[in-house]
Amino acid sequence: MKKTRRYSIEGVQLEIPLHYDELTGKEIEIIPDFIENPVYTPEGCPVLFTGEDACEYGESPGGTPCIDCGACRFYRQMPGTLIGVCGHQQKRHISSTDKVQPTKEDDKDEKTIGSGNIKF
Amino acid sequence: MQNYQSSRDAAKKWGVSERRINQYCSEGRIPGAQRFGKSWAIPVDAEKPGDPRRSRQRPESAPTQTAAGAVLDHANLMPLMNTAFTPGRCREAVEAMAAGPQRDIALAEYHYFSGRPEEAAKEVEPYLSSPDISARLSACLVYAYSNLSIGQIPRAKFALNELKSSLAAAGGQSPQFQAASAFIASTGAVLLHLPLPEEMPEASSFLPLLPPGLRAFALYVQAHYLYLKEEYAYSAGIVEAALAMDASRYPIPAIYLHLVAVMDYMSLKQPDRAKKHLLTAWGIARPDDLIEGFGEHHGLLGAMLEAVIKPKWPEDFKRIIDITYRFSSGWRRVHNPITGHDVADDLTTTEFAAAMLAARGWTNQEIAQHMNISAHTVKRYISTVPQKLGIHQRQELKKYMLK
Repeated sequence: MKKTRRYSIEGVQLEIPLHYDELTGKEIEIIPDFIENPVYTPEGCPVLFTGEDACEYGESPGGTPCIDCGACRFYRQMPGTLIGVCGHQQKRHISSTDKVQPTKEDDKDEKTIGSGNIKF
Repeated sequence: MQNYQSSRDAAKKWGVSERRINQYCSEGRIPGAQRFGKSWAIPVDAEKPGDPRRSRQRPESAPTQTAAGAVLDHANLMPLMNTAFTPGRCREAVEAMAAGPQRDIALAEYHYFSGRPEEAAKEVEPYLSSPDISARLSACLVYAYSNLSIGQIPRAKFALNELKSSLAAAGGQSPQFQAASAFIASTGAVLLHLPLPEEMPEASSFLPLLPPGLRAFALYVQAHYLYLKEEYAYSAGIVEAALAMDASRYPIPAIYLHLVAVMDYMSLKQPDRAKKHLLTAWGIARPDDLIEGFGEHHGLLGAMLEAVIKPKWPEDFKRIIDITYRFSSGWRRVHNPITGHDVADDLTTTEFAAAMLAARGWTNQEIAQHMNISAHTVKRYISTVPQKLGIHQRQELKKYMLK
């Protein structure tokens, strides 16, 4: 049976396959491609890999463009893994009629991340 | 030929026969003399060799007399590196050299630069204690790098320490002696990313005293040093200037200069220029199989080998990667990494190459395009590397990859 690691990220249950790396002797997570197969939280926020290229809305805490999700102020990284949730309003997966127009206040929305129980 | 004179002119100047001049040259008693076919080219500033019987009578304890008596023959100072041969005729150039230290050391250089360090180490061993300082310094340099590549670390460290000691002892000696010691010691230190010895003189003081091929290689060492200080444009400028002048005539220095240009231009995010330099280096190296430099520099070439060499020359690429693993394993055992973490131990060469670009701020799309792989594959590398290194963000890669 393939080894996996389970995460609960802001209400989403994820089961991440593990691969044993002989060079380091570590179990390495095989992070799914969340762009090809999107996963959303119940609030409609996309789950993303920390090293994903920054999108057009990406912004570093200093307000400059950033290189990847991990450097973006809207991204909430799950402790202990390279997976997190994008909190930008424009990236939320909601029907077009309900789509919220971004405001300055929305951009500042910085929720604390869910408890994210790690189960092995 | 600039800065050289013929045997006939030297004979007239020194009041001896031309035959005697040729004899001096064959015996390695005229520093910097170079053989061209059946005759010799002699540096215009060369001094008439003294009577060896007299120098043998001098007490060994007198340092200046020892320096004058000891042979400092530039012809034996990394002779292959200092030879302008046509690519594809490296072996012939070695065989055309005078029998003795010059040819033996050149053969060891050829074996080292073509990825055969075991042979190179054996060939230079007899010269580690040679009375000819040029032969000894060359032997130490080749011995250090060859043993590092075959995992004989105590031997490599011994030779590196010998180089440092020679430099420390060079203070009271002739400028030529100091130049040879400074050149070899800086070459030994910079490529291993070791600190330069305290006694290292300014490059401008010893570069003019080196013969042209070694001067070209010394410029590569300078450019590599500037690269390590993250002065990429300055480094690239030195390389371009060196290649525009005489350096491109000397295949071994030229290969290394082009490689450092690849490193610079990849750091400056100018992959087209980098590619041009890599292909030029490859064009010079391939006919003689001089592939060692490509393996030594793999991690700094920003995945250029994966992008350019791997698709077209897969078998050569595999051999280069073997050299990379072998060299970097020895490198780590000599070197004291700033982070204390053996990055290259934990990563495959492809992961290392992708992570290097990521650490330099390349996006996944840009890395994918450069390495001719899918963005999905890049993401796999970029997700694996931080886990192996125990870090959680791409920005943290810098402290592992760029030191």
